[in-house]
Amino acid sequence: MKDKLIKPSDIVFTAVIVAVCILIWFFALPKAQGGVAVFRLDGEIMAELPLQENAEYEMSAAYTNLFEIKDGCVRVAYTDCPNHQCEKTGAVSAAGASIVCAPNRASVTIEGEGGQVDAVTG
Amino acid sequence: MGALFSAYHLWYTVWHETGTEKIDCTCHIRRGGRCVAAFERAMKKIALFAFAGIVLLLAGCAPAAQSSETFAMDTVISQTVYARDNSILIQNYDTIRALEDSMSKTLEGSDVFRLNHAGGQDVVFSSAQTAQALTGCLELARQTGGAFNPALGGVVDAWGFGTENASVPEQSQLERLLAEAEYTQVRIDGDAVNAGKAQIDLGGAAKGYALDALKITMDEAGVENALVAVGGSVYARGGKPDGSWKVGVRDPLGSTADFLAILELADSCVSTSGSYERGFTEGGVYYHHIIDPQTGYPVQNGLISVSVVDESGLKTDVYSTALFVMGLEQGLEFANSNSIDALFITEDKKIYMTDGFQYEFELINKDYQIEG
Repeated sequence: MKDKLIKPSDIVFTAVIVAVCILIWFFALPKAQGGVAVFRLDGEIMAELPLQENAEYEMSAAYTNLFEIKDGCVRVAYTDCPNHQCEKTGAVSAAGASIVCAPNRASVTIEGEGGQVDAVTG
Repeated sequence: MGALFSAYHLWYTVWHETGTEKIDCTCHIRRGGRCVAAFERAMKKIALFAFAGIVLLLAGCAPAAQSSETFAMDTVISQTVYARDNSILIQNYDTIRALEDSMSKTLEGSDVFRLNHAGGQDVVFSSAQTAQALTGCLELARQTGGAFNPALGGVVDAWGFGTENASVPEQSQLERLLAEAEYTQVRIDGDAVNAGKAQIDLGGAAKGYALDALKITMDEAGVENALVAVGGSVYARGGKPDGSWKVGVRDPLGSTADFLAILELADSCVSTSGSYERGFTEGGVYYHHIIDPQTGYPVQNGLISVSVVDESGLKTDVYSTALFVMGLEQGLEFANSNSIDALFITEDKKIYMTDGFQYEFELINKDYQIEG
């Protein structure tokens, strides 16, 4: 027993350490259930709100965008930007979808499991 | 995680191994109450686990997906780059901002602004990239017989697309501006440029050119896999760990979040010109932003979007506009004879592809029909 470089206790110990590492890693992962609306202003994350809870969120810079989370969807409820492109996007809910207001440099992106595409050309 | 693992093992091995040996040690050499043979064995074990730890540590340093969403060129820049840290995201963004600063039509002091306000005098460009982009645009303008015209700035300004002053210009004003929109009179001699009376607008090429510039910065940084979208112009570099990049083709009749098909791409760019962007309604008529260089009015030919896939972002940007202007029949013919991979969508929901458009293409919205 003494001559062996690796003893059974070493294997048990290693297994325990690996298990602890995996557990820490697992709990450190972001919760991706149901989708989260990530609000950004000029690239900076301002808020992350779950889609399950109805809420309103406002971002003001050059212009003002009022976002509304309702029934698992996000939409722009009010904007004073010149082109109203963000408002015209309508309600989004799918992972990967986003609403962008370029004049206000504001965006909201749905993050979560099951996004179909990595980008959209159009 | 690997470091934690090795450090803990180091402590455990030295302490435990030499400690137990102290109680019933059969070895002959002792120093300070601890067994030297056991200590040596412990050292061997440490070496073994340290090696394992380093392997784990390196695995932790493998490129991971870094992503960001920022704004430039009047649009959103979204990046996903597989890299060790996010420095390449910042570098890419800086590259795009620098291009915007020299190619912007509205920013005072930009190369394009100075050219448009030079009153027919020579202007020395401060950015070699702007000169290169303009040179590329002029070549493509000639190739497409002016279907893409980078000298259409005056006409586009008169329409005011995307601004609060968007409105239908007077016919006489349009005719005067069209006469000045001569790309053939633009002269580039080294870094000195003369545009005559033409107003240069690189809006239909800057996003695509930016993708080409990012290709160079990412080549230098050794990035293998990345997806960068500058608005609707997308550069798919390499792939993803679980396969190729999937790019949605926007549904021209849906909202901005809807896509009608999924395109799988690797090491290529795709751009789309659609009649749904930056338009406005006046007197019950919808005016979109793709101007026919012949008439000065928005193109009305039954097309609602054209997508082009190519290695060069500049070409995808320029060709998508040019093919839209040419229309379905002439556009298909031009694309096929020039080996341009393009996808045309008509207002009666039909999709046409060129012969070379051999990409993985999954139709999602079954209201549309693939022809030919």
